[in-house]
Amino acid sequence: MLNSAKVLSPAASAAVLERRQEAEADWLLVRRIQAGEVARFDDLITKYRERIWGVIYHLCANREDAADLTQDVFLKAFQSINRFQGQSAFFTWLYRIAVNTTLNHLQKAKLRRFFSLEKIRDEAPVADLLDKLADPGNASDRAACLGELQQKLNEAMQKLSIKHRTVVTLYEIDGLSHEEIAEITGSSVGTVRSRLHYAKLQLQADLRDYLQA
Amino acid sequence: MKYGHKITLQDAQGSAGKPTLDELLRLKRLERPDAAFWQRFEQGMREKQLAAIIEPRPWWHGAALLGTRFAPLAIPATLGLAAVFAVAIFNLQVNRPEGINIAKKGTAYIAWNASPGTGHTENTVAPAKGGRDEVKTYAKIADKPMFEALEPALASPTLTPAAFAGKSDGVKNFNETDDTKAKGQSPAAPRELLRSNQELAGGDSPPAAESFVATDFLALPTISAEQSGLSNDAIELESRLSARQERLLALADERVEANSAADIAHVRERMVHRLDSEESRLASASRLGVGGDRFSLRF
Repeated sequence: MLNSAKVLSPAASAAVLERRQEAEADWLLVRRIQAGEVARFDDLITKYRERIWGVIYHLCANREDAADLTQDVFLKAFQSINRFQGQSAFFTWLYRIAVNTTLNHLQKAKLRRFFSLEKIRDEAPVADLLDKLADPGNASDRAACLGELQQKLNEAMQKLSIKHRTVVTLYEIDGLSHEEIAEITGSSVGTVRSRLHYAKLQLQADLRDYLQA
Repeated sequence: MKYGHKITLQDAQGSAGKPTLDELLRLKRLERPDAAFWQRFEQGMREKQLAAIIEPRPWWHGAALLGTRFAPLAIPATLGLAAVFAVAIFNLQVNRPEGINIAKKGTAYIAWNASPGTGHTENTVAPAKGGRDEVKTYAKIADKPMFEALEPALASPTLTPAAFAGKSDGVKNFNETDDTKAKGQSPAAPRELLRSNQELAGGDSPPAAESFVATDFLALPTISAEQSGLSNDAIELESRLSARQERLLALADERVEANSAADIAHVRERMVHRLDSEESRLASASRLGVGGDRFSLRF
């Protein structure tokens, strides 16, 4: 008889443990804020602003809109912090606000959207990847190659529906688990897996000229 | 080439050097703003926080907050309200106030006071206006409920409940005359029946008829001339029904004002004679009934 419990790899177990500790630390911070130490909210902003901005930016593909929406998300979280009961992780709650705020913005600005992309930061840990993505033999044209790739990738991402784009962003770019995405989007884990599968199929079809067969 | 003199990625990469989709998506993680961006972000955040403090909240914010707080109670509260509403409707139907009667479609009643001091306090006589689809109740019984008013008749030695229904004790139903008519008997037979029933109704046991209940003629079902056996004159007579009805009622009103039992009997006699003189109307009368102090003709 097979054991139905999911067996996690050591790395996955460490990640789960880290998430749990992080959630407990956030909850303590939230309780202090709820008790009146509102300045502690800056700690939460500093901790999560890049991740929240990243989610919003990859969903709307506009850096200025992403900045405004990120500020709005933290403002909403601050105004509603007393209603947070700790039944879920704080970052899950914050992500949910971010996703909903972004989806509302995208629905309102459906007809007046344009891309405003952030530059790709050429850092040492990802140099190998960039070497592979760009032509290693033409260092002078490396930026142009990456720019074209970025443009095509964003175009393909924006062709996805909002729901599919959200799942791809949270899973592939932000590294959340299926369960966390399901909690954030208010859907089942199976739905999340299904959406991720079809979104990747569509991306591969759109980017087939740039990807391995 | 898409970017002028520059070599594009697609041109530069061979098929072996192409990335996978996962590697391409990792590229997205590198799209991050610099430190200056975050400084501007913090400044904008402070401004928005201050603006949110001094900005008045909309009027519905409190209601929305209250609704959110009581959201878990929404379903039970809704179910409870629905149950209370259903019980209230049920009680209203079961314990309907006395005197409220639901008039049936196609039937109207015209009544007036025939004997003073018997409980009827109001004379409301008016012709029906809406034709056969509009039904008006003209009689208002102020003091007695319907069944209480019928009790004397049911207790009468000469009129049993069955007699009131026109089944026995000499009170015959005009529907029974259809058979006699089919057998070729005289068309005056219904008149005789009406007269005999009237004699029974006007006997010594029941009190003077308090009200006369007649059918709204405009609400009568349409009967063709061949079916009813009416002549052209009778059809013309039907067209003047409302005027005749008003005359009859005016006559009755005059008699009511006299406040005399003899006058009531006289009015009744005149009504019967009047009906006798109009064969067409008599032929359409189907039932004569007496209930308590009420004399009724049903067409």
